Amino acid sequence: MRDAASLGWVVVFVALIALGSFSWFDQVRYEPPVFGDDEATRAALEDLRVVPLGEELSMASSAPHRWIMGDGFGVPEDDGTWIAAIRSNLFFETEIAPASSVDLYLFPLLSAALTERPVTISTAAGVTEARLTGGGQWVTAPLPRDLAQEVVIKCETVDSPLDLGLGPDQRKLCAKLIAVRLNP
Amino acid sequence: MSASRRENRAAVFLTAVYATTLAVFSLGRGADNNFDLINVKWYAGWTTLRGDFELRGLATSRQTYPPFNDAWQSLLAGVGAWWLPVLVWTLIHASSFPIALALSKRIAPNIPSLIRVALSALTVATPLALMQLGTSFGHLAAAPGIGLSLLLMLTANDLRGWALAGAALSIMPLMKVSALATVPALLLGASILAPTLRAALGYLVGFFGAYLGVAVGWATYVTLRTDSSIVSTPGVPLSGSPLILATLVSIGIALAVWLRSEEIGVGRSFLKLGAWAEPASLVGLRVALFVVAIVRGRSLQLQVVDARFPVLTWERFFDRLNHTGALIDGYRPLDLEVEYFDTSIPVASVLLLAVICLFGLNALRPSTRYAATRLLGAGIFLLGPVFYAIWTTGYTRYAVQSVVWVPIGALALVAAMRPIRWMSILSACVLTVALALPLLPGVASAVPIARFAQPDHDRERLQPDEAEMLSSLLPEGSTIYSFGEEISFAGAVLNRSDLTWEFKEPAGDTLAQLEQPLMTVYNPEDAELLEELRLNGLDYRDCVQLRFTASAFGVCRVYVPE
Repeated sequence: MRDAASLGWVVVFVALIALGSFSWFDQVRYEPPVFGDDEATRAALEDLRVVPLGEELSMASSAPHRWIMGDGFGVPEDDGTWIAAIRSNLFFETEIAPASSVDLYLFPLLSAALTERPVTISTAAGVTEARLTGGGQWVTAPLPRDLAQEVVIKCETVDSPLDLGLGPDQRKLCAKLIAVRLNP
Repeated sequence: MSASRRENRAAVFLTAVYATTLAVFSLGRGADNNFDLINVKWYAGWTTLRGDFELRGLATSRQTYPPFNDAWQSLLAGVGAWWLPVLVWTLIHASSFPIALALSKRIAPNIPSLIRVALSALTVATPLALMQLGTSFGHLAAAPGIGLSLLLMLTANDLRGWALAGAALSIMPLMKVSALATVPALLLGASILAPTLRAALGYLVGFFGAYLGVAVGWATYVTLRTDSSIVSTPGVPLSGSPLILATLVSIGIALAVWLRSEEIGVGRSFLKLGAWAEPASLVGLRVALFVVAIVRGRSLQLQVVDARFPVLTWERFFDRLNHTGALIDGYRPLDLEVEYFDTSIPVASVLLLAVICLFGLNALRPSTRYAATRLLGAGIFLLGPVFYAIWTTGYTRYAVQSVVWVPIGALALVAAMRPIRWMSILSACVLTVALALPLLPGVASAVPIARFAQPDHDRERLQPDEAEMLSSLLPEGSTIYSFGEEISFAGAVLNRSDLTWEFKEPAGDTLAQLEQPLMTVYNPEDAELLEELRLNGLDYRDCVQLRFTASAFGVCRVYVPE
């Protein structure tokens, strides 16, 4: 019995070492690009930011159009993505015709003490100010007649649910971007 | 088939069922993405495995840490299958169960086996333990060291056995360095369990010889391989030559004890009956260890190890003793970042109080003194570190390796009640139900047992195709300046030895020596930190953001402006 138990431990130990050794021997391999030879990846990323007109584009973790989110956003979640910085931006391109305006569906982080959240949406066509007062809310901003666009979202503050007494979450958040729609 | 053989087979079967159940539960919760792993430990273990001991960024403080936890995690994670580290850690964590079974049989042989098995099963199954199950935090990997040490103490009949028990305790801080803070309470408990001064000293030299031998041996190796000049190891208030001398002396004495072992004339029963007198020198050693524990504890308390949960008044300390995570304010995270409901701490409080009362009642009579002293020793060894950790740091998580053994502390108390059988059975049942309460259906349904410190979700953080895309943006031989949280693990996942990861911007007077390619990888949430580059004379361009399913990265080319 004792011998069998010892043998069992030896087998388990050897198996674990063998499995772990895949890492030691560089089982995961990538071909490193030479300097300046990353254009193919950059071009592929640009393709991921081409979006259609007139459709509601989800910003959830599994949604294909989440790639339009640039800096200032958190990791996409099942229903959308939190704006986690004072300044955040969206980059996208339409394929054939330019959009005239963009609609953002935002869900602000509010509490009893913080009942509204002012945000500013800036594009090359102008600045739109909005006050988010709770629940999901569409905000519309005009766009210039270009195919490639940048939309900048500015929040006055970012706060954590912990600071607002809403729960243990310590992430600093402003509003959740649920969806984006480009109007022809 | 003999009864002993049948019992062994039953123990193996129960262990297999227990480990399988925990593994299914643990794997069902997905990949381990805990904050410390993603930000520090994965990268630290990866660089250490590559023989690079110049840790950078947040990992710098772990340079001389014993490497077992981080390196093992990185080795397993490097295989590329998210489930492998989770499964292996779960099996390691489940190893407390067979130790608890063996302890329960030795401590309380007269208690029905069903109750013994139930309490043994609760070791790693209370919410405070389950929230770390299958993760690389290290507390549950440290826990078997405590149980094994107690088991060896209860079976030791010579000096070598006591030294081995002390050496077994070193597993605990070697797997989880922060657990070193609870060692004074454990050594005090062991000295009270020891029947003679030589046994107690054998335990101490066994512990110090093994722990310092491994921890300082590793720290010395790292110091020789890096630019550091003074050998030090975390949690030990010595450094340089005094530390090396203390280590060599400890190892020398431990080896001498091992080679010149002698019988300790005490029976193997946990609570032997009969007259017994303790030598005054042993009592003196215990008093000395008690004073050391108080002084060290007070020193840790004044250091404020975790500024979020300090226990600076006795009122707050006593609040914690009946703390279930719910306390009086609902399920508020009083001393952990997540909500939980767990009865281990209040049960441990009741147990330790009862143990001290029983000792007070029985210690004065020679016929019951041995049993009372052994019970006190087991109580302090198993339960004392829980209160010691809460008193010194205010943080229950630092005591989880000892919270695991609260059910066995319950059995020790129950065993002491064996002259009144019905009372011992009843109290065993009550304590089992009290500890199992958070797991009973419907009782704590408002608080699901969340994994501790998982920032977002339990999906694989960086999948192979995503890692390939990130890698393809980083030219061969790049120096990468990283900014923001949840970035450093990517270095380990990419596993590229041609890249140099830096976690702070270069000093202004070194810019002329910088060689291309220079890149930055940052968390898009923390994009404002890129300004640090500009403030230090560098600039960046051609930024892209990668929106992977469970992580996000920004990548820019960095250059030195003309």
